[in-house]
Amino acid sequence: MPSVASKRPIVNLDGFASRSVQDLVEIFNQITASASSPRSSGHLLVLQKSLSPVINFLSPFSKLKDLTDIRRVVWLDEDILKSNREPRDVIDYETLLKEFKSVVFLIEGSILSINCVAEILKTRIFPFTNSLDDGVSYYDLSVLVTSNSVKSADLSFTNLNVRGDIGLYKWSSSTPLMLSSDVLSLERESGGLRELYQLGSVGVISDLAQALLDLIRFSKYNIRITNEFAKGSYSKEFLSIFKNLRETHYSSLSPQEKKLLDDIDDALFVDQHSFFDRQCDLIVLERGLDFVTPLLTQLTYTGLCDEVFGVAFNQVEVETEDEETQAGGSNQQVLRTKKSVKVHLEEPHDELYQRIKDLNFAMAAPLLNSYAKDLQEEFNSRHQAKDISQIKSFVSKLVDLTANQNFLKNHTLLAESLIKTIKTDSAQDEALDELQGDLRDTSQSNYFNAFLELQQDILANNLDNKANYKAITEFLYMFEPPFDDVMRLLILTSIVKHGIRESEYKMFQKELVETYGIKVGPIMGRLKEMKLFCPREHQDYTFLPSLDISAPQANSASTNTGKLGSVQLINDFKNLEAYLKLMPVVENPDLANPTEPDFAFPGYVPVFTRLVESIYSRDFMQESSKATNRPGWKGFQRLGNLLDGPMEENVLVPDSKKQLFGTPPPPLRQRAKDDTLEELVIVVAIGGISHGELSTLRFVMSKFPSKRLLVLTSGVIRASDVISQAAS
Amino acid sequence: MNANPSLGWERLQDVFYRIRECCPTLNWSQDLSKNLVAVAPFSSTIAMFSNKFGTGAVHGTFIKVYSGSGSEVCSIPWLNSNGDIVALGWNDQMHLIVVLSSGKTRVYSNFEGDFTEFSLGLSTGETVKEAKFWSSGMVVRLSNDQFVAVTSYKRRVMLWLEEIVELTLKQESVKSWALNPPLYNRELSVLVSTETGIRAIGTTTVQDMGFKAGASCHLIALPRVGDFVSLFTKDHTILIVTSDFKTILSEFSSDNGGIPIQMEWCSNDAVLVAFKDEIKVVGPSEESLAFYYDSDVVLSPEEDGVFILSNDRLEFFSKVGDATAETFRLGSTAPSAVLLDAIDQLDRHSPKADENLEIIKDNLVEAMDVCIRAACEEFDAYWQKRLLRAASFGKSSVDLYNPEEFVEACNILRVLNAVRQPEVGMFLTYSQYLNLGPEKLIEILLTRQQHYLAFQVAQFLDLPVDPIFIHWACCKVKYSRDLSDESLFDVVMKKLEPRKPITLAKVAKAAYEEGRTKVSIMFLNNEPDLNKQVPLLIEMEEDELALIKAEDGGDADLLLYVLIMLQNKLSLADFFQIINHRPKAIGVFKQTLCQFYPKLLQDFYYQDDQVGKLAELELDSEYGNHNLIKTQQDVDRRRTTLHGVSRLLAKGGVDAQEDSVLVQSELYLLTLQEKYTNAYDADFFNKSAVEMLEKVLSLASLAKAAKAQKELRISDKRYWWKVAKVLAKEHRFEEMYEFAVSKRSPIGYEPFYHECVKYGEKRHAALYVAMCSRLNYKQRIRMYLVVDDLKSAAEEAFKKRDLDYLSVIEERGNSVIKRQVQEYRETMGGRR
Repeated sequence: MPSVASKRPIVNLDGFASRSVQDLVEIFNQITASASSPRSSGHLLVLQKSLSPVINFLSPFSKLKDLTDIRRVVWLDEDILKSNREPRDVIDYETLLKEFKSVVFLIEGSILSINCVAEILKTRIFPFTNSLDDGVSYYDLSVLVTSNSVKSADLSFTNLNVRGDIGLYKWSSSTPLMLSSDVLSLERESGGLRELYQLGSVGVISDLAQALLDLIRFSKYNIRITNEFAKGSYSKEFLSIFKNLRETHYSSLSPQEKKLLDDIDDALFVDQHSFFDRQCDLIVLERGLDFVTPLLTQLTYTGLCDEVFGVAFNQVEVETEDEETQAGGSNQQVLRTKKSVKVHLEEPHDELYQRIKDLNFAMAAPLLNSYAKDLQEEFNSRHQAKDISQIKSFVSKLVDLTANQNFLKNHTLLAESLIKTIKTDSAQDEALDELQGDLRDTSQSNYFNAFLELQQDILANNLDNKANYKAITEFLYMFEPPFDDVMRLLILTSIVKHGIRESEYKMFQKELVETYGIKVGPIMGRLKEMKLFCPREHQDYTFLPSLDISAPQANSASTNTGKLGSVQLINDFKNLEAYLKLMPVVENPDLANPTEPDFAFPGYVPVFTRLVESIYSRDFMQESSKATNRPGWKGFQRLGNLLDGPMEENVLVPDSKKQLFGTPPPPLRQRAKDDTLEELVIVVAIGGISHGELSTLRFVMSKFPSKRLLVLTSGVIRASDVISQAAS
Repeated sequence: MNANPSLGWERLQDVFYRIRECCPTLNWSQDLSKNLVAVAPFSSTIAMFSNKFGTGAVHGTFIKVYSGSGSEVCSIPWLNSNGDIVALGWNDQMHLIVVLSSGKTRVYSNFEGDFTEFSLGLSTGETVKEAKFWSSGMVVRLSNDQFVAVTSYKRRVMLWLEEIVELTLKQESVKSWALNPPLYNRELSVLVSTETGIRAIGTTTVQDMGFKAGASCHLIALPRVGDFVSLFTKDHTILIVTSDFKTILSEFSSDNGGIPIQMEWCSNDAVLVAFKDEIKVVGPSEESLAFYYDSDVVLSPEEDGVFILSNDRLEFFSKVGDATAETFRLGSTAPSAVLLDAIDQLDRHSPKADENLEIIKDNLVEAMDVCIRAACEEFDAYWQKRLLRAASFGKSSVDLYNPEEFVEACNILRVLNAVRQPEVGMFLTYSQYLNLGPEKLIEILLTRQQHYLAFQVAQFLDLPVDPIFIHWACCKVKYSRDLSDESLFDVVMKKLEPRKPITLAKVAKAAYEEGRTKVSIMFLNNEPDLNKQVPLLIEMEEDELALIKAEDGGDADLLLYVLIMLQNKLSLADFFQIINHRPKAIGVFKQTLCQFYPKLLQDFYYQDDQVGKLAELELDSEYGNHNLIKTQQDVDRRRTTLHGVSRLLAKGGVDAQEDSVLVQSELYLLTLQEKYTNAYDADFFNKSAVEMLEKVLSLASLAKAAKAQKELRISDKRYWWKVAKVLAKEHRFEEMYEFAVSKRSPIGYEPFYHECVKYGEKRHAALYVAMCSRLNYKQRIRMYLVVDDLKSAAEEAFKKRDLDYLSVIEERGNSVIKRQVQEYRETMGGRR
């Protein structure tokens, strides 16, 4: 997209990722500097295991060791508090303490981890530090917490009577992780869904708000949010928490910094127009708005990788069979060894991945082929080299070519493994296929396709209650699928049909317990509370009951439903789908150049994507709802009846500039030609977002070349996260 | 006023010194000789304690604090029962330090009598004899001639200096000592003169300087900067030596026979010795100056000079700066002097003004710079103005001149003149001001409660004014005991409102400390930073309000902080009571505390009567991670748990009772698991009903499986599927076929076909195709083809008269099939 390249970025995020490591190094420098023992023997790092992938993501460990003078790493003994632990797991601190004068604990800062540290200090470390014979040996004991909870951590350590013995440091910039140039993620377990919806904790929201504030500070306040949009009660809560954090932060600024902020505002609000020319939008959405999408099978390259192998911290682990042909004379032997290969996605310079990551896999695979061909041709070009200069130019490209070849190898490996999973086992028989025409393949021997088809049927509401029950149970009997997959279908059914018929709900319950045991009982209970898998309520959902009655009180209704913890917000899927064109009918679909963002899921557009798109363009909607002369959700009231949760839309004008906006905003003005600063659109996805949704968001935003998308989320999630968050 | 400042100058060798009056008269009537006196840095305040010798058991003695101009700033009542004051001192925070003979030390943080006290921890019998102070600490000499240093009052860091054995054993006695503070990369040490010489005591070393001439000297003094030491020896000689005591730089015999009281350095140029009635100034040569007084004097050294306090006046003794000297020296022809003269001429409307400019035109800029610098040095506004005018006059004839220095000098002089007014009485010199910095100056003004002046200065120098308002508000709160809560709040907020957002926690704290909780909360409600607001509310026992505030803010860390605080101080019941109906608090509670203390969650659900949740917890822990049944005890435990859960649920609502049904059937399943485990001698525990059925199928005959199906209450469809799957997997195809044809299948026969295909049993698979009556013939043909039964496929195609399929089959078949197809074709053709 050339138009984007010419835009001046509002903030250069390159440093945002590296600042985490810099901060960590800085903390270690502080620890070293404040060391009471002048003899530097390096640090012993006691690391909470769950933080290890984060560290690995941020920096190769060897490099970190060099930078921080960490000499050795042991795991935090998280079982230490259990009474029935195996004694052999004990880490021998006595020996370690002879070697190290500085012990640094790196923990999340949860109560559990804090108690572990305190217990280790009391039972494993203090006995040895106190009984040392030379008396002058001081030990430096430091604790780094990665969460924002340093105030409470401080208090907890005080409660445990060890606060005086340790130096407490906060390394809050460990998150969000920059997963790609436009995605920042806290990488919470299952996207923080459990915290949000099972426990009803605002912790995730609070951390997201903190992350956004950090981002703004990182941009030296160049990110000045002018418009905010929020849908859903948690989203509204986010705005409120963010506002509090922002105000607290601003009140703590030095007068010089305050002046800087005022200057930015002055430049931004010269007149009514200037503000709209330099928009920076904050769009806050929560998972409750759309539990449908994350349950569907993701069909983009990255999404499918996540679905099939699981992508964690941009890394895929895939099992391959290695074929080694041993040429032993005439009798060639083929040795097959299974091994698992780790493939890193989002590697810098991996252009191939950037080209295919958001594509529907059906398109990605051919692209891989043609890329391979091109690459081979480039390699072959060496044979055509006629003179020294041509050879030289080839050699100079060689490094890149080899790197690209490696990338290609990795992606080919992934693609082949994916194809194995999704292709029908039974051999294609073209002659027969032609004769059979539309007849459905009775064998259904391919799980992937059967699953996909069933999803589509449910989404399109093709099946009546009875048929739906039959289809799902048959799927269950036939494939004996994992619990998660059955649950996905049931939740879809429940959302689409606004609850499952009481009798069928009971039967499903029985079937599931029968198959997977009573341990799934509590999971179903929690999903029921979340209104994800639930019986239809008794005041039955008759055809469009509330439309006319509740329309006038749309606004007051939004405050009623503003209660925290309301979970599944889709109220009327059928009409929502029609209103937002979630399942657009595309004539002659061209997968290579899709016109609708429905390529990432089986013919389905995520609600998030539509909500974001609708701010800037309503072209996808019916004529009547289109009218909007300026970005925003104006004229979108009907949505309130279909999708619960309050809807907020604010223009953030400082009080001093309010008089400029006393009159209604003027129509959109032609943008000045020399306006080269890009406009940031920050989408905050509370409760996680899937790869497929990210792809569609990118697709939608690419239609607005002056806008730059930045997604901040509590985690990149997949379907199993939605189910597992309900497990204990 | 002097016609020329130089008239008051005194020359010592080739250097001019001058002594300037800071304040014409001190408006006190104090006799320095009867008081303990401590002059604060910059002579901003002077502390005095009248009961110097601890004689009178007088009631109502006071530590009086005066400004530099002698007006009383405050007076701190001192009861003799508090202890005997040995020394008064100041630190650079303008905190008054009071050292008692018992070793107790008080640090007064303001002039309202607020202090913190700490003890040096002396052993019994030890008392403090003397104390000497530096900007951030002090050294005390104890009665047993040990020296103790306090290097930080705030952190109360005390260092016991190395002891000199001869002293502590009383073989020798201390004649005098001086403190070498730990500044400029020097380590703290004390120079001690005894009968045998001079020793330097550090924290770990004692060094004998071997300087016999310094034995038993009356006084020792060190300059702030520079490696010199001055000694006043017992034979009344003032010696100036290098700090390593190797070289004597100057030796001066005093003609005053009296006992010297104090010796101080003026910068590092000259030494001042104060006698009872005279001050002698000794330079590096034989010459000396003498100033006579009719009272005791106190010397207070600064970086650039010495303050001299006598009974009736405060003076500043300093070297005349180069700029001032060359401008004012009589007969000076320096450019600055000429420029200054031009102003005189100008005032007289003499044309010589221009001539003067002409003379120095090549050095005009230099002349202006010097004039500006000289102006800064002057105390007298008349000369300041005159010099600045000279500079400004010169400026008019220079094309390009950077006016920054000029403007800055004007600004600073304005500030300095303001604080030098008798009402304030801080005789800060220009260079002292530069060292101090404007922020510090404002702080000092605030401790003196000069709020308006501080505000003016801050505005004038473009510094933040918020701290001034806050300080004012705190004082206002403190001194407005008579105002009602509302009016106090209104008065304060009227001033602070326009300054929002401004942090009010300090004001609230001040109010709380005054015991005015209500108004304190009113202030806290206006505090923008919850992190400051909430902890204070908890301190004030406003638990519920703190929780509400933390909830409103939504910062999870702060919420957790409050929860832990509340949990620390409240009983569990009260704790639950307070968090009840606070969804965010409960959320954070569940996410954090309960993850670590699962029992807490149980208690919470119990008090809240959440039966379903309690049951869920029970089940989770029973079926949780790797909690498998291995022994009979496990079985019993599980049964007990399930019974418990079932009873629990029975008490609940409709939903709970429905769940209770599930638990009941699990109990039933457990019984079956026991039964089957015994019957089949295999482990049936930890399995679902379907898994149990599968196990029976693979272990036993179909008849037994059918019985198990009934017992396990598994539907026919599920059963048929399971049979097909298990038997095919175990290659029991014959059995499977028998079963398939024994009854009409509720699931059709495709599953049987597919399962056979899956395990490569094509022959058996073909048997089921014909039974798939629900399927289209095309599909059947395909099924036949998959299992290589071309004959049946052809037959099927023939039945439906499908020539297309027949040709496809013909293509794939061997000669037998081809012939067969040919036959079919003919038959069909024959008919046609």
